[in-house]
Amino acid sequence: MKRFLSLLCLFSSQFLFSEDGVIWQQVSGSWKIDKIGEESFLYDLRTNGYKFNYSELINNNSIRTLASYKYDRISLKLNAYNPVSQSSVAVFFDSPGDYREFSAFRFSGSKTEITKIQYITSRVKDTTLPRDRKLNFEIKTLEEKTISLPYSSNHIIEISFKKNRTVLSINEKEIMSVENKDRPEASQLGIYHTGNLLKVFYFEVFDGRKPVIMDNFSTDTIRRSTVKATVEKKQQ
Amino acid sequence: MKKMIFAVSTLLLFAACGSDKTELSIKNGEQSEDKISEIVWAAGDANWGDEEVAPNSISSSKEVNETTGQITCGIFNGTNYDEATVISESTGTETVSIDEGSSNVVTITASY
Repeated sequence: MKRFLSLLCLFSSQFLFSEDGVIWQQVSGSWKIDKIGEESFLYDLRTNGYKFNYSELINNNSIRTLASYKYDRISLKLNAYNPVSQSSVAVFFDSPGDYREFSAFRFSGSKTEITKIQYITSRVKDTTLPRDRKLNFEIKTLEEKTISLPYSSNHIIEISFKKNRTVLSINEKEIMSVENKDRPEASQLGIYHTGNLLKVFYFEVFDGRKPVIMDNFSTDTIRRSTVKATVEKKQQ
Repeated sequence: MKKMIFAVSTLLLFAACGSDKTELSIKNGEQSEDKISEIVWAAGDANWGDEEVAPNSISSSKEVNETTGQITCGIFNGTNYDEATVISESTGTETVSIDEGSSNVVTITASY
């Protein structure tokens, strides 16, 4: 009987925690994976983004899931370090395909600590304009809270979607609860940062009890847009 | 006399330094599928910003300080703008090297 139960537990845990092979899309920045001891992590080589102004995502250093998922909880462990004078990290979600459409919790800070959490939305300003038009997006801050969080420490961020509300917890402490009525059925999600360096140790997404994404970044599943270059001509 | 020789030498030195600047322009290869824009060299050492480079065309030339670095550019995937990392064909890495004191043209073939 004991053996049967342990086999059943093993089977159910494998079913519950089987990875779905998430593929990440690098939007901007230079995202890599690495490992220190037994712990692997995702990190970005770049501190600041280039302000191309097509979207908030390309203006910062961003990575997001390639596919859309249905989810009601996000959990991740991150560490922001080496900040410059203005630094921010955001976890974004409810992005149905267009980079200019999402909601996010954005953590901003000075050079010494993270001082503010904002619940923001990004929306297209004029949907009739061509999609490659610059500055055709608008960031709105819907809620804001002051906070004191240190850099160079690991923080566990959890975002839960419950009955028209989105709840943010940091290190198992509820920080903010905001109204969020019109969520897309399925959407992409990810992270962005600027003015600091960032490590992410795991990124987990659930739909009820079912794991949707369970990535500890032990393997590189980042899709990067690349183009080839040759030094063609040199004139002395 | 000594003063004059010194002054002429200084002038010659300045002239020599002036001709040794390193320049870079980016050619969008004829095999490219689309225009490229938002080209950045070596973490912002040179930035072509809004300048669009059509296939088989060359960007304006810019003076640069760095002779090795990464090139990034913006590419429109039909839905969104992504930043693309340029891979050097000769080394297979993200680092591109150019010659100091020369006018360099780096050809990018944007096919994705």
